Amino acid sequence: MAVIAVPWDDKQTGAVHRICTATGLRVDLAAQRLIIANAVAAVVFLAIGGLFALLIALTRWQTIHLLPAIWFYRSITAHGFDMLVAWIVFFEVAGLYFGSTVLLNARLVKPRLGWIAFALMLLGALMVNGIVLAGKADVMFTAYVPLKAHPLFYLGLVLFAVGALIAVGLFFATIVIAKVERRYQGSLPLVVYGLVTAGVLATYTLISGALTFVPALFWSLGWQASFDPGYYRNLFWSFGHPAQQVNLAAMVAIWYSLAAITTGASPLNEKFSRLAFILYLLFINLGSVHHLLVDPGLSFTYKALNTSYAMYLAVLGSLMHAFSIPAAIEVSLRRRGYTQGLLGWLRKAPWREPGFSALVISMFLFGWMGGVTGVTIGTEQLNMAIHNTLRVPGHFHATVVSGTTLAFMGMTYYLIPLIFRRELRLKRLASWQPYVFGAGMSLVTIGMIASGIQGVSRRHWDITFTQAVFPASIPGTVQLTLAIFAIGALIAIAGGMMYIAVVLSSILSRRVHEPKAATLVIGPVDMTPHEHDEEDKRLQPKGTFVLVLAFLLFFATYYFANWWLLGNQSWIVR
Amino acid sequence: MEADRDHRDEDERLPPGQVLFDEIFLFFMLSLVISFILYNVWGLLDLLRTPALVP
Ligand code: HEM
Ligand SMILES: [Cu+2]
Repeated sequence: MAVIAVPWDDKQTGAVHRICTATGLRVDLAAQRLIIANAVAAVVFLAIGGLFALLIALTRWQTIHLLPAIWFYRSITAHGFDMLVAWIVFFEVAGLYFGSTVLLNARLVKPRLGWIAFALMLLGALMVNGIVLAGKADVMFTAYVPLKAHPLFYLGLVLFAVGALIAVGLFFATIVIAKVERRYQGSLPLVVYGLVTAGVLATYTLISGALTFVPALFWSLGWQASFDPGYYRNLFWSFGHPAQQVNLAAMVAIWYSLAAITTGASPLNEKFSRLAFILYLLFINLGSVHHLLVDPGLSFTYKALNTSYAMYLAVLGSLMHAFSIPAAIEVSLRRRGYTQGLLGWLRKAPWREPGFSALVISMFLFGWMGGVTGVTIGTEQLNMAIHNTLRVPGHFHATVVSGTTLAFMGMTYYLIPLIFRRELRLKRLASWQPYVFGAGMSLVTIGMIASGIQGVSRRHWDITFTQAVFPASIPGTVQLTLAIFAIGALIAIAGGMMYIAVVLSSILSRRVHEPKAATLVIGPVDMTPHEHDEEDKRLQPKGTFVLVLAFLLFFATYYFANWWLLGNQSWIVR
Repeated sequence: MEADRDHRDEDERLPPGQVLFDEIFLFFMLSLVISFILYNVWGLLDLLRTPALVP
């Protein structure tokens, strides 16, 4: 291999780097190897999780109802873990190494620790998969006490969390050393700032994970006599909810990078965007209480304060990004002369570039479907009608799947030339992939939400409750909405397979490729940040403003429609 | 050396807001403290206040 490796100017560290031919960025080779290892592990677990997705989706489709009950619960457990924990966190670790080294022009301190972290995470993930498939942990990934799994299940989770915590520690150490060694000047770049936000939230998440699963391990081993279910749930969600906010912060950071790579957009106001990240840091973890809204034992004040007043400040952060990123894209495209009318720039946007379409579809589905449904189900009163129905997975397949997963998929395509140094193969497939995956996931979420509104329970093999003492009033129309869901699932799984095909065929090719531009399908884009000229009327982001108003209108309509539905219910117990 | 001095001058000219936003470890601390008190401690206190069911 023709690696043009240059020793770092500081001889003592022994770090070696290369210069990227497309961006001119320095890439620390130790970091590069770790990024590759973590990204590959992520993709492998996505494929495994996707296989389980197929199985449970075909079971949810009433006409097929594929799996027997026990394998349905087993597959949901594996699917939840492989997707939400393994795929996402491995990818995030790759992102953290990328952000703290390549984007800061810095070296990774202590790569050995990075490998220890990787080994722990891999071992933990394999342990969880093994014990679930062995049929010793049919507890779903939340593992609510008093459901009890084999000790190896909890041990696997703990090892994974400890590994990830080491990786996050390494990320912060690398940033601090980069500053000390003066690898960059001034403030951290905005994307790294977003990753720092993710890193802080991850620290709390992983400490909480350890605090939850270590006692659960002891309890499963019989060393601890009992584990209070209410307390377990409180502990678990200080892991489970913040974990989603790590995904959120990492996704937003990737949104900013994809916008820069594919349209040359630079944030209109860095202060504004950074403040939005700070709002996440301060308030977003309090939203954890929205998982406990039906729990007895917690006071109304605790629930209401944490899930409304405090949480809305974090929602405000998301609204700020949701304005800031499209506006930056709009201004950048208008600057290139696409100034026609309100939305002329959008028509002229690089829709064939997979990073751009992934970004737009991810933002759209995350905000319009995920965000709107999330704020709705997180409202105490509305939650009474929604809790544990299929509307909940409907919501988070809009956020963490259509949003985060799609953004991560889009980002992977750029890592292939920049980090793997392979040419992106199957470019046409890559151009189509975000559309296929996005279209499928839209049907998945709509189907799930529509079924949930009609009362279909989540995580339940027999949604018609055939053997229950009380007849369940599930209308026949759920057959239709579940079929919509399942057809969407098949499309989305096809989109997932397209992603995996593109990634594997590219990274398995042997030829090293030195990219000339960061973009893949369209020509090179000028990525140098520009001054924003607020005087020029043609450059103002008017289109984004209109889109934002439309979004708020949709938000209000959906939200109040749910109150109306709630008011229409008869609450008399017969 | 010349370049070093330039950096320092630049740092000194940063607006106070930016200096505050750059204090990532301050926000790190605040984030952990706020979450820990409002979510974990308050939640635990609520649970402890709930009388246990005596069979
Ligand atoms: C083609 C893609 C996917 C399909 C068709 C799919 C389908 C499903 C289905 C049918 C369920 C069970 C719903 C229920 O009855 O409760 C489920 C649960 C879940 N999915 Fe997915 N999924 C997909 C991708 C993902 C991804 C990428 C993630 C995470 C990044 C994810 C995270 C989860 C989680 C956390 C659960 C809940 C597990 C539990 O209740 O314990 N899914 N999914
Ligand atoms: Cu949550």
